[in-house]
Amino acid sequence: MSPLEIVGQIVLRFLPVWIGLAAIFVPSILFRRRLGPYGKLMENRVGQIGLGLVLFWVLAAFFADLIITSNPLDQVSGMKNALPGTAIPDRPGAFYLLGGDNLARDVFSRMVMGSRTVLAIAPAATLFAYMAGFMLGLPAGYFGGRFDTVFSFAANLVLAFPVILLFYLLVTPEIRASGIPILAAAILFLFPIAFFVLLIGARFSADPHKLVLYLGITLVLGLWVYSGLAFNADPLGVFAMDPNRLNIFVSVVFVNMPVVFRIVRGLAMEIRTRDYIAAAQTRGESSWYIMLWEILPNARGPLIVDFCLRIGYTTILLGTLGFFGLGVSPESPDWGTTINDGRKLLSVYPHPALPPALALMSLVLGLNLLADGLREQALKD
Amino acid sequence: MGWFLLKRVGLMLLTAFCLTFIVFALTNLQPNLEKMAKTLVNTRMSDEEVARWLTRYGYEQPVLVRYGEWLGVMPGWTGSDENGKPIGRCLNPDIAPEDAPRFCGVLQGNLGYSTVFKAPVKAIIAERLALTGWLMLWVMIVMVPTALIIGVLAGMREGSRLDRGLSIFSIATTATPEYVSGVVFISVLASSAVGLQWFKGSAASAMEHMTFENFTLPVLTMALYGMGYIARMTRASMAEVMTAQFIRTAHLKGLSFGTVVVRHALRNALIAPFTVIMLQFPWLLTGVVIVESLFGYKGFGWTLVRAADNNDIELLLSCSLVAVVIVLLTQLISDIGYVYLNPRMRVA
Amino acid sequence: MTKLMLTGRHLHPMAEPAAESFKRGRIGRREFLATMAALGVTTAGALALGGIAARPARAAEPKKGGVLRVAMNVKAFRDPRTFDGVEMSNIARQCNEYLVRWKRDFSFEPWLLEAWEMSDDAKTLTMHIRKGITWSNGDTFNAEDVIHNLNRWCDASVDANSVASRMGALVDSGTKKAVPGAIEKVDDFTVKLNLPKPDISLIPGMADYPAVIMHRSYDGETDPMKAFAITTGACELVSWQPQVSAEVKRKDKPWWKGEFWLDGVKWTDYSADLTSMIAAFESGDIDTDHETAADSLKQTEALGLTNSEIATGSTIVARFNVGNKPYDDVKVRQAALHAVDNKVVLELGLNGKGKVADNHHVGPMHAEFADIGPQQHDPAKAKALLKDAGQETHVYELISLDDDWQKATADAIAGQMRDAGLKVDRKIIPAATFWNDWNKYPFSCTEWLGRPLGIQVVALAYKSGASWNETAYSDPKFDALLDKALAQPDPDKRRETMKEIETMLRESGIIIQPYWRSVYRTYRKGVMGCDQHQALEQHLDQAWIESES
Repeated sequence: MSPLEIVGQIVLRFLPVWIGLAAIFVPSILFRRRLGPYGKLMENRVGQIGLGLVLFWVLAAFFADLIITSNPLDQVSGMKNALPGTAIPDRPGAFYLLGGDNLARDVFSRMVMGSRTVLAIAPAATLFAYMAGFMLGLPAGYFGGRFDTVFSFAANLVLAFPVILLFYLLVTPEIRASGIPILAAAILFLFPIAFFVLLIGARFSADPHKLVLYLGITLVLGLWVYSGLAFNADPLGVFAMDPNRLNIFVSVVFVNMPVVFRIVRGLAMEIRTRDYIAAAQTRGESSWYIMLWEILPNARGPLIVDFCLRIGYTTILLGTLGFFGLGVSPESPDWGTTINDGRKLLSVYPHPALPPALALMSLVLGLNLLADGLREQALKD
Repeated sequence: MGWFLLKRVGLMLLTAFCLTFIVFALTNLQPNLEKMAKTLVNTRMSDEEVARWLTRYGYEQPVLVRYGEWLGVMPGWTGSDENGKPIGRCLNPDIAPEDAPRFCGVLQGNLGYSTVFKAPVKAIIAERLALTGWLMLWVMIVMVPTALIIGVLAGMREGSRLDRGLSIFSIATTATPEYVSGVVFISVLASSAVGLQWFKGSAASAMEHMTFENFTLPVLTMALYGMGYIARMTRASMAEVMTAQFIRTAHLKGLSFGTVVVRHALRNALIAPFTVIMLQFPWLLTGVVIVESLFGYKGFGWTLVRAADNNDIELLLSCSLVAVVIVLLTQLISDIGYVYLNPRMRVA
Repeated sequence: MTKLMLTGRHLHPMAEPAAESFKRGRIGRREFLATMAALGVTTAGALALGGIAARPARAAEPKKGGVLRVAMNVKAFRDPRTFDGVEMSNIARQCNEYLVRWKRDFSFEPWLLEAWEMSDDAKTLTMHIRKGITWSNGDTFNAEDVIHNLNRWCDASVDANSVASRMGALVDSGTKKAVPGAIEKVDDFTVKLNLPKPDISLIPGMADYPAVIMHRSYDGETDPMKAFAITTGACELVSWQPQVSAEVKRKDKPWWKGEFWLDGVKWTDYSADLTSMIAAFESGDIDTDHETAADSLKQTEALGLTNSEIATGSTIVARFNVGNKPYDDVKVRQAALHAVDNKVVLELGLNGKGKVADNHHVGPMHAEFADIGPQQHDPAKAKALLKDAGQETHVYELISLDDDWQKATADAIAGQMRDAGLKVDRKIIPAATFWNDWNKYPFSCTEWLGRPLGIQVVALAYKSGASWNETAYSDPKFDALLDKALAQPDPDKRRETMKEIETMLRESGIIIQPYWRSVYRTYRKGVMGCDQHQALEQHLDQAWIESES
């Protein structure tokens, strides 16, 4: 295949993504005036590009099964390090669009599938870190006092660790054998449940019917997911995480948590001096109501920006883990691992390493641009 | 100020204490000890041999006792080896067993012995830290001025085409981790496959004599990733200053744009980046680990990886000590510097 | 007239039949040479008996001078008998030497020994020690040194003494020391080993890398500078910094063996990272390396470097531990064997740089190899076997090291099994951790280095209860066959037994052994005599630097 044909084929393979992007962007731009802050983002070129890049990968991950041309784990004899555009023997009309890797697997399909791993772990880990950050940072900032002192100290303690040392200590088969990750998961994964319980509890405390209903739904759903993720004991078998992935997930959450804690704490300290907080206090609202329904919504601007940046940072972090051989799973197509595998033969075969490297860069770049767009939008308000 | 310093130093000690204990506990998990025994004696050792070895070399005592020994508040263990020769934590072949001190821990100035490098930890840390110091120095020399210039140029006229271009550039550099850019640099600028071969893809020879050829790529790789963040902070700070009242006044006085920027805006715009640069140090540590592994430069980061890989307990502890001190010291300097640069701030 | 035997004795009765087998093509060249050496035949004699033309003398004239820079993992020094990596020996061997050297052409050269002689019943080994060698402190090298080392080697009670397993019949399994009276000092330069049972593997064992000869005063010192204070070799140790570098320099005093061309050798540790080693070659920081991964050959070639290749008996096995369910069921194991096409594993896992093997851990490089045909590749049968065993939903979890080629090979095996419709997960364990449980994993890949005799490795790895038996396979019939083979010094006779052993081993389905591996060493132009050795040894007395880079 000629380079042009390869590009053409690849563009064609991404058709579901293009359709998805068009379906999101066209109405968004048409109705941007009625869409509030999201619509404003559409007026910002940087934000638009960022959102486009991020959505591209989100959609690619979603439609990955339609996009890939081969199974990402299939090894085809004769395709070891094959150049981009090589035809697959015994499969007429099928090609390795971006060539084969060192184990004769399709680089293109692996890159597309890799987006799933990255987008499954990075945003979720960031979200969990945020939940934990909320649950600890809000009271620390709002109440201050001894609670604040202890947790600030603990956060600084974790932050004083070089991240990589922390990972070397936490992501090892020995630690997995000791059961520490499961214990840590058991604690960390409680935060989201606690967050939603308090969120609902604080809002509907005056309305017992709704309270019981909503709390019930939250608890059933939460504990179901919790049992699957933390203990791999989901009775229905929908949610599961293998020990290695759990180990990495917990470590990533753990590393991000103190940073989020500090940000949330800082914002809470600033906002609690505002008049509307004093008003709520005189109304006799509960502390959790004030923290979750008054402070949090008013802190959302900087938090959303940081959230985008943090997903990018987590993506890089996952890649770093792959770089040091602490990655998700040996055959996993996640980008960090494939970059690390590919870099060994980089000077003769650049094609297995460059696509995941560019994919990772473009996603992180997209997240950064999106964050930038959001920040500019926030400054204009 | 004195009280403030004292408080910070106290906090630093407490942090170091907690941290090293965590590291100690994690490295002393039973499977980690077994792993260490096997790397030290023979990888294909049987379980009984491992157990015997661990007992003989004092690893079977409670963790707290051993942490105490490392700290120097508990007497070091003693025993005898397979030939009946006395061995112990504080013994060393050069002095007679009777003359050896009872306590030998951090408090006595003894950082211990590295099982991987077979040398006293203190010597290793000193040597490796010095090498990393050079790397850091050059990274700072390249990164800080470039980042400041980019930031100032971008922030000078917010929203201009120059600003857009430079901003995208700095965002792109923060989105490119070292393991990506380093790999690309090596393959493009140092490999014979592309043929440019301007630089060397290995910095191993830089440990003995640094040259432009062998040190450029590691420095560039690190500097690039850190640059974007500082540049963006500088830009934000500069943009804010440029809209300030006194700059407008200066403009109205009829001073040229260049004079306004250099005379009035710069000093005020550089306060925020100073903090950021200082806080960059600890974060550079992670970068150091990646870059040193990638380029074969055997500095502190590389040592840390070796120590962690082989569960070299005492070396790892000292590495974390160093890391903590660097992190907290830079925080302290950044706080003090902030006060010094900004007369409106007061030490709380 | 070529001198046939190393000593004055008459030609060993087993020598001529072996030469006959070699000429008829039933045994390979290297195995023929190994057998001859074990019997005490000279290399020239072996060549003459086998009708092999001796190699022409070196064409180029060596040059003196220059320091050779080698990329190699510098592992920490320890008591040599507990060495667990040939890298350690490669520094040590420049300072201290071996009784026997296993050369690149697979023949054995008497080194610190002048000659040895095996009795006709293979139960007495007489060793004649070379005269005129002095230790660097002035002591004469003599029987006392050899006996000191032999006793140290035979002490199986020491943790991790791996030479003990190579001394076979010489070690008393009860006392875990040398058999009393077995080591006999005849005179100052003659030592006789009286074995309780025939053992044909002693001389090859003494050439193995942990068997470096230390001074009679050596007592397990672990500081390399002190341990190598008294040496016989051409070089003295300058520094040995684990993980960083090591250096030796040529002694001022002449070496008993003659010329050592290099001024010195410097090893630098580039960790296991292939990229940094390639970068070091590109930067001109190193002259040669310890070993070049098969995957990197293309890169080193592109750099204009020379790759030296040698085929070996080194291999990797994906083995089942039968102590773990469901691998106690032979059908589940056989399913995996039938699912994997060893050819493809060789192609993908090792870039085709080796020879396909047949799942029984004996190969054409071994004298007693009996060809029982290739492993049948039949994915349909694999599925059927698994169904028979009632394990259709079983997910195999294949564990491997994170080392490059080992990981790739395991991935390729997993890929083959998946192709056949079996369910496989992969798990990687870092090298530092892997060995914690290497012989207990249910299903994992292990690297095995080559041994001169086929029976050696089978006895080491698959005998019931052997300490390195990682399969937990145990069958009295199999053990009986092994004992029978070990007492058959004649490879031709042994071959019949080996045929049964090989068949049993493969039918048991405990190992997938996809290939025999070739190993490579790379060096730059202008460096001579650094060719790769089948056991990765560095015989640097043969190396010289023709021109600086």
